[in-house]
Amino acid sequence: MKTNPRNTDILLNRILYSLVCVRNLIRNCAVKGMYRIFDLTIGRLIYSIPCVRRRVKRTIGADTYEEYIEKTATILKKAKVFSDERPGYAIEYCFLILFSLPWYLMFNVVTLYSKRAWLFMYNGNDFVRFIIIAVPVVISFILCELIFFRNDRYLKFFATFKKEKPPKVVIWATGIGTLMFIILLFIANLAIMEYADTIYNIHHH
Amino acid sequence: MERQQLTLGALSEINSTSQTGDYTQTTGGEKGTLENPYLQEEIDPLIDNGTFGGGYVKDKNGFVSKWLGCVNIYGDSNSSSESDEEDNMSDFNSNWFVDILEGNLDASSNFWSNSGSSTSEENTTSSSDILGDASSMAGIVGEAVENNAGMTRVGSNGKFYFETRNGRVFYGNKYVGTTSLKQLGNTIKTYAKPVNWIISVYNIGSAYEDEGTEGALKETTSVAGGIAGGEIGVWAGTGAGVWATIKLGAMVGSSVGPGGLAIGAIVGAIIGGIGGSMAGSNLGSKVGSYIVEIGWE
Repeated sequence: MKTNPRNTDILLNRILYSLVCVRNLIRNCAVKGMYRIFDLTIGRLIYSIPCVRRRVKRTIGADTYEEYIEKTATILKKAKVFSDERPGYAIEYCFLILFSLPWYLMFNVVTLYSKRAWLFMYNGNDFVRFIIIAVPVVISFILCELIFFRNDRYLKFFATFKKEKPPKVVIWATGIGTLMFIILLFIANLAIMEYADTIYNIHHH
Repeated sequence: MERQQLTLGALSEINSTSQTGDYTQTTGGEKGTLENPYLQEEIDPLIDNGTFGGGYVKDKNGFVSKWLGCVNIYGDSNSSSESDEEDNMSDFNSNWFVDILEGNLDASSNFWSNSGSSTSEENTTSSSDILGDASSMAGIVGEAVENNAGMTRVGSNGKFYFETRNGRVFYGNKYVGTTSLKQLGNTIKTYAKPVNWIISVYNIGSAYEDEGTEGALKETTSVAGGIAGGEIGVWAGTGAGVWATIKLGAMVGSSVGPGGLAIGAIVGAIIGGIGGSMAGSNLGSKVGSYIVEIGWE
């Protein structure tokens, strides 16, 4: 089936956008919760020291702890520490895995039909084993750079998707579906490797 | 060779029979049994030839213990999962071990070992684990720096140049060149990811070879836990660093500029990210073991 590369680009960037939205939602809730816990525990403890209270009144003019939280919350908001647009380490890693697992799956399927291929892949010298592991990773790295990260290409797609405002259900379904697909690919790889071992009568634990 | 499962009781029994008696004294019974153990000087030539079949041996100190026969050891355990006592004790009654002794496994069946060697060669466990941890940490540090560096730049003279209150930063002159810290973090993160994934695939394959599907699943959950833990740790560390910089900064009376905020955020993110990654990896490994045990039962 011939696919239009432009449509593939859009689809993959939609998946990236969904994962980023899901990540942002979880992260914002977690960080806000963490700030609240810190304010209620550590902050209140330190503010209870009289010299600290006097200093806070002198520097930012807050008489009570609640007033102090309100004034510093404005500074925290302005800090904009979390950049909402950037995918981050974990999501970029997910795509690296997503693009490399199908290659391993393809290699493993070939070994089911050819013992010579199995021996070549699993009985070669160290250099052969390194190439077999590394080449799909390099290919998926190049694909990620070309589709998403070269010149921050994904930002143009994100701007379009933001205007469309897809429903939250679609975003969550896409994000979770992608993660499940990665898990499925991995399990398929393991199952085929185990089946190949059974065919060639090799026993592990 | 009659195989016995070594238990704590058997160990104490061996220990209690070993402390008395002259080194050269032997009693009646079949050679190699507890009643008539081999002497060490008798079996040293057999071990050198690889023909020792196992049995009880009295060493030069008079200590009698059961020695296993010569085996060919293939592969190595590259699992980075937390090892506990069960993993360290080999089950000498396992099918895998019996197959090893009976020679049912040939060198060609071992993908992750150096084929044709009779003993395991250089132990690649520690080097791949170290490289894996290093690349994972490099990725997390790169992520932490990229997210929080802002306009900070690093000079060719080794100094950091932070954003001033009016939003400007030093870009360099004819004596000093500068590099964006954000770009540096991005570069480190970008190339650390594929290196870490290659090492993770190698470790998962080694775990599969050593322990089968169970081991591979445990190793995978450890890797996934490390990734998720690192990400969550970066959020937590960044948030904590920023909170401490702003809130505590206000309490001690110093107003925090963009530079101070960047430092607090980066330091917090690095500490949180690395700690989160280690905790996530351990937790992932434990959860994976639990799930695999339930699934296999």
